[in-house]
Amino acid sequence: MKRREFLKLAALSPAALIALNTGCRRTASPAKRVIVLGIDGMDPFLLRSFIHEGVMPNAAILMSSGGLNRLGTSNPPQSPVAWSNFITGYGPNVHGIFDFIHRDPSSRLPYLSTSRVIGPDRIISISDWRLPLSGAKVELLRKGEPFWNRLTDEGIPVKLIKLPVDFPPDKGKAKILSGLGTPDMRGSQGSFTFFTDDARSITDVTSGGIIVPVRDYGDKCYVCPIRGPENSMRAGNPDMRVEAKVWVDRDADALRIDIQDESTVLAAGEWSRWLKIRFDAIPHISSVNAIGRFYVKEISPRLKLYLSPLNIDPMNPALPISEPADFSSNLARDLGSFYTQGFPEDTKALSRGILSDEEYLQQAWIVLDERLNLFHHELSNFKEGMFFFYFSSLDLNIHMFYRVLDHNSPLYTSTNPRFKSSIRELYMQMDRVIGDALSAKDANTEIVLLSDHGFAPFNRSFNLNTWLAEEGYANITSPHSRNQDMFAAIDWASTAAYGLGLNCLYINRSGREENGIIPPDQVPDLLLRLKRDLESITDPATGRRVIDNAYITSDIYPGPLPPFAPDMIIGYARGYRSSWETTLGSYPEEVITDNLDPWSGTHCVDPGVVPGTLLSTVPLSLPDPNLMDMGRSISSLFDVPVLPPGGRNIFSDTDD
Amino acid sequence: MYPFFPPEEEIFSVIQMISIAASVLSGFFDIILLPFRMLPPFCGLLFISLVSGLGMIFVFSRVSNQKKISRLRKRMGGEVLGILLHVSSPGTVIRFAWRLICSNTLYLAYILKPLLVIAVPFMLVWGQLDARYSTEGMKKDLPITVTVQYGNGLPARENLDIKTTGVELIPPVVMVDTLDEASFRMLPESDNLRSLEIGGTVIRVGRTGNWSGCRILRGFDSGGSLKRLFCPWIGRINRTEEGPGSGSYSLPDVRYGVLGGYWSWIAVFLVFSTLSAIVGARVFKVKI
Repeated sequence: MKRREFLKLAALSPAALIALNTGCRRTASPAKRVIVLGIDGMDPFLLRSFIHEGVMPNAAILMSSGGLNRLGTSNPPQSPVAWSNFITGYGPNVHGIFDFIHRDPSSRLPYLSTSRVIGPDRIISISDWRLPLSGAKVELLRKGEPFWNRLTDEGIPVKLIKLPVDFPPDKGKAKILSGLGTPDMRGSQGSFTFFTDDARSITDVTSGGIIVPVRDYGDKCYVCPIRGPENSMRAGNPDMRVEAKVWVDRDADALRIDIQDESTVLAAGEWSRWLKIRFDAIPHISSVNAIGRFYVKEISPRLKLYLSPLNIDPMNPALPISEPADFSSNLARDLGSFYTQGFPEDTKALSRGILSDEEYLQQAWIVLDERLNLFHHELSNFKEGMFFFYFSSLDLNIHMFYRVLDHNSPLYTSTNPRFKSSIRELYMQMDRVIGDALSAKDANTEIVLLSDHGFAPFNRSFNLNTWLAEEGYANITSPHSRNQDMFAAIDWASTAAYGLGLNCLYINRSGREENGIIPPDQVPDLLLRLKRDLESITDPATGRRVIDNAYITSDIYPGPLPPFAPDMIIGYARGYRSSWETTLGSYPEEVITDNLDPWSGTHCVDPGVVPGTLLSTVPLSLPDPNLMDMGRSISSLFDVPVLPPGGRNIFSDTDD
Repeated sequence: MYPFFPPEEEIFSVIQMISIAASVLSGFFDIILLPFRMLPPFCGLLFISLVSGLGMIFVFSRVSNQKKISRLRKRMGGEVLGILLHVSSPGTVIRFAWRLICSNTLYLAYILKPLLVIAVPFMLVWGQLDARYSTEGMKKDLPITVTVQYGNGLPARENLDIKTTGVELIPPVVMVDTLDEASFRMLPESDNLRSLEIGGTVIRVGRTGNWSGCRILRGFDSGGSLKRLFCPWIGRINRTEEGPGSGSYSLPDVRYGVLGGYWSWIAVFLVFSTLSAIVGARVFKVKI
């Protein structure tokens, strides 16, 4: 029944009036404002324990309204997949995001699953110069219709800040600032630069960043080359570069950084503000702007200078990060520059030992402070409609500091005890955010807090590819290349299956993969055999099962699947996850090893292990809420004639 | 030594006159840009660029010999036509090409005088635009880096005496003896007049860029004369023995979003003044 019809009946019927006064459902009175807090990685079990400790009083208030619910997550429970479920109301078979990375079946080369850059159609080449006649485009690879389109179609304002898996932002009537999935200026998910003259720090290969050796030739000056994005206007697309001059004053334990015409002074142990760096493709005519933050780790005796990944400048964005386009520059004008990359916390710098725990946490709090500024700014301007705000801090910091929560972590004893409260502090900060939302609440406002998944420890790494090779599903012909990425060790003519990404397993299928050998009619049997074998693996060190469930993709996502879809999704047991080596196709010696990376928490396990969290001022009418239900349910709080098709309305048991 | 080195009092009077001229010029631009003070900076920059283009074409039409240029252009057209009509006759083509080169040289000679006349106002406009549209202004609560140059040796760290009014000094002070420079950060505390005093030398910090198109000081020095006129972004200081001779404020560059790209003020000025000059020449039938 439509709301207006119901109100008409209610007005005519005294009995209905009594019912309205006594026990009618809250959804009968549609909210004019809905605040949706998207807190990536908020774990319902941790949340409950902190509420019971009494350190999250605002979450307790919210819990008293609608209860603390476990929110069904996606399979696999990875953020891009889960947030796409939230946005579209459907699973990966519809939105097409199965993992952080997909592979091109013909080449098996991995690519980012959420977006891609398409070069200009027509180019005029003059000598070394290439002048594009049309602009390059960035394409969002997530398919499906966002649920808020039904709201904006009805004239309801929608604003989504740091929205995951929405780079470039959907064109439409909603105001969007893209979040998770937004690359840095080099097109990666975050690539730091570390300048040093300390030979011990200099290594050839560092994923997640580059280490640049520099030298003081006696004039107290280091020339630091900053590598920018590729110059698509020059033949061969060379990297654009800018030189920073760093003048050190060892007596003052401070330095001065000169970049282009800008200078900044920093003491050792200090973070710079955002510095603008302009990369000229064609001097004076075409340039791209980046922003970066320096951190002076050490000046004497050795220079150790960290430069954050170069972020897209929100004031003059080189790529579309907001809708409308000037939304980001307006925010930057009001609040100053801010992190625009999807993964702002530099977890790679911590994993590689470039930043210490302490330094990483400083950076993480800079990110969170910026995010809080943005949240307060937008909350104070929120008048009507739906306001979604996304926080990444819990997710990325729990990834790095789960080791302080779990006694079984191989790093538990070696982590400084003073960081043991870091996760609690972050949850308490999130509680203050909930408190701010509650302060803004009035009779016409509802608040929904949701997370895409929970968390589990990542103590043991499972080398899926090594296991496949040991069990005869893959054939290693170049043992010396085992540790090289991209299946360098493999003979494809005698390999049946391979792992790539965090939860995905692929069959080397003939007609789909290059040099594929498994005929399509043999694939179902092979998958069943793999499922049986994978689910029976036990860890010799602990005697525990490594994999809870190996899901055959076509079983859980019926219907035609795109060629980039995995054939199997691995649901690891609590405490286990695929190794970093597996994600990029290498074959280390051992099948299961201790995880000694500070990245000690994970959610890339079985979805049953890591449900998300749902708190709401609206009580639930249906059990077992799922992320896919949320778009429809949130839309039902407004007066819209047609709800989005995906999911269920969990706020009503008589969903029309 | 006179006449090569005029007496000191005459030098000062020249400096004073140039300083007055610089102030008058800056004031003139302040007035012109007054209507644009609440609009985005691009509007004022575009306006000046268009007016400059028209102004240059007007001066060109007055100073150049339009009849001679017109005749020469016709002749050059004939020479080009001659080349095209006699392609099969190399001797004739070479003769016409030589004549064309001579005509071009003559053309350059014809436009030399107007270009020389235009050059000075062009450089004055250039300096004013550079001072107003190339960098962002200081912002309250946003620290900026100040670098001071001594030129005759840095003072000892303990002798570096910095006093501030209206700005907060943020330590540390980085001293680079290889450059004779000291750098530090300062935080403008208000929009009121602010100053630094280093070793007894008073340095006016200048405006915060709180209105669109205002003159933004990016440095200071104790030199005088023509620099005031052509580089209005440099403030003047009276140097003491212990103070620095010059210095700069580090302010971020500004780019303007035009046709999908981010243009420097130079690109905006050159493109739009040229466009306006071409349109002006067509409308007012000026031969260029």
